[in-house]
Amino acid sequence: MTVTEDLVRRAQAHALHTPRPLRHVRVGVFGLARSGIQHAALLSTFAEVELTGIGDPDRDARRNAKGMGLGARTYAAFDTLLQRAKPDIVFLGAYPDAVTHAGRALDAGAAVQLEGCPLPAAPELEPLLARSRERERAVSLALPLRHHPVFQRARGVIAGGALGTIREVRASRTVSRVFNPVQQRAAVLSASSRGALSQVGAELVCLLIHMFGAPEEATATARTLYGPLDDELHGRWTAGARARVELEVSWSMPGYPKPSTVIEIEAERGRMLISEDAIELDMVTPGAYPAGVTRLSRGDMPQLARFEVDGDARWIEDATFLEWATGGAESDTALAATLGAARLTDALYASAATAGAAVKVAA
Amino acid sequence: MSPAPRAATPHVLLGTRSLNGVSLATRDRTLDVADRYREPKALAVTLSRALDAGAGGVLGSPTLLLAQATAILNKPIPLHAVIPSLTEQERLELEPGIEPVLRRHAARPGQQAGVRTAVARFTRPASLYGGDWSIRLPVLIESELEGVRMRDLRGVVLDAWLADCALAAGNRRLFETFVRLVRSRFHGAAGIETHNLGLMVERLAQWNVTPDYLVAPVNASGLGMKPSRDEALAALAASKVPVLAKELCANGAEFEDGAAFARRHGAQGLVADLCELEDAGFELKAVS
Repeated sequence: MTVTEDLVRRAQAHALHTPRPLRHVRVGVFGLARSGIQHAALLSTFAEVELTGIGDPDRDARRNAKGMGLGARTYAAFDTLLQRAKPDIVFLGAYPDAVTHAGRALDAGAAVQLEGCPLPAAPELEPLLARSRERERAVSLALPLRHHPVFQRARGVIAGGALGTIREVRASRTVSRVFNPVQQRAAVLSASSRGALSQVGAELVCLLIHMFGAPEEATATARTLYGPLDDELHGRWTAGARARVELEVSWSMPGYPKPSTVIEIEAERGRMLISEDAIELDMVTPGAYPAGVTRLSRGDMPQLARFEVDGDARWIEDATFLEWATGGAESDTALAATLGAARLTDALYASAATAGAAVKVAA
Repeated sequence: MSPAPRAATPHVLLGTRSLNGVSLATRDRTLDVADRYREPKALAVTLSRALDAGAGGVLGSPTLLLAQATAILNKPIPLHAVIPSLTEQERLELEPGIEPVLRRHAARPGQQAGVRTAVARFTRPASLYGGDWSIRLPVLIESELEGVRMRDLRGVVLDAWLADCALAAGNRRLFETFVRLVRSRFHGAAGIETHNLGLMVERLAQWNVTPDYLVAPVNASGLGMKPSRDEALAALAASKVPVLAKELCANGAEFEDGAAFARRHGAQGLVADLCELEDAGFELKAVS
């Protein structure tokens, strides 16, 4: 089976299959800020999941999670959670020690899902991948956009070859979040020493690599408007055979209270526009789709999520990981598959730091 | 078969949820609508036309814009207030909970607690009960409804942002407290917004908790209907609590078709969002 055939098969299977844990599992959640609370809520809805421990160093966060109604015992220290709650699987929210804790969880024999935004640097993730292979435990990055029904379907369309050779890709992810130094500092304190690309654009970078392949080198320029971090970043690379990819990421653009992702593709047989709302195909040469415009909106996609908190993608992502960690097929956001996004992100930052010089992407 | 509507169940409400980013409409559409209703006067005109066309009130968060629009009109605007009142950005960035919302309130410049909020805070202090969603819920409700004209208040609706997390965690006490408090303190209807109708109906029946109504997406394409379209429709038909259907036009359905679909499957009332209406007076008249 070729790589393309495998991609098509996986995309089709993913589109129709409702993931679920394959056996009873003990699960722990550490880091009870927004994403941790959402994971804890979603995990509580699976009959096969026993939430045995939740934790956060911050007392208020623990009280808030407990007050939501969770019956699991709370822990202030991650190691205590591992020892006493004995989870088979650990979900880690976004906090500074998360990667270190992921390593300890693997050592304790647990599978780990780690928050992917902000995206850790590749050198932090590589030892984690080695450890997961050594321990034969699943490890994954949470990148919900990757599981968004519209983007998932778009990936199937591209992998199926409906567009022919891809010539040019323009992608953007924009949100209105940082408009002064105080907001930028808050973003740093919450999780990361990197800015818009890592915290907002990482999901899109990962998606682009899954759709078009990883490049050998990349260039980028960044703008720092409100502090030391990148508020806007413009990246360029060539993917696969000859597809030119342009990426725009900003967290300082007015008019986008909700993150907006747009991918425009120009290809041999036509054009494709993908956003959270819909896919629009404008085919010049008919094939799998007729000539002219075809619109596939969210309602035309399979509705796989069986519980919703903050959209469908979070549930699909958690369920997919639970399935993988309990003996099912490997998740699309497995660390091995997303490491390329971390390497490309590192290269984009390195290029931006040298005013746009071409930087090799680590293999 | 669904029970007969109670007196308190609104037949048709005008929804303003899309102005706070709660909508399955496309991004372009929600931005258009937000732009159209940027000025209170424009919203006041639509409110007036909706009420004249038979809408029983407004379902929305008690925002400054809504307050300014109702102040323009010289008539009472029955309000079913969705709390907490969150901007789209807050909805995406705050961790779900009571304390994060209260902290946000406290951080607003010039924010002063009213007497009732102060009393609620005194009797349920954060130092003892901080983080407990059920015990601190009255503080949240009092603080959210400060500034709302009580003569206009017909109901209080718990936002799905909180309700669905509490539902997932099995927090029966929160829902019991909410229903009891809204009825006794505000003499209004207690509504719960959910994006997980199937599980909500099942758990409320198990817990024997009966709010006055639920607000949930109901549409032919099944968008936003959990755990699945068919299971949500079965829950809608079996629900002992009246359900107000929202997101009628998801995936491009016509408003009247969407309303007919929801009613055919047992919805006791409709929430017609600003985002789903071109001419509120005309379209609401057709379904009222």
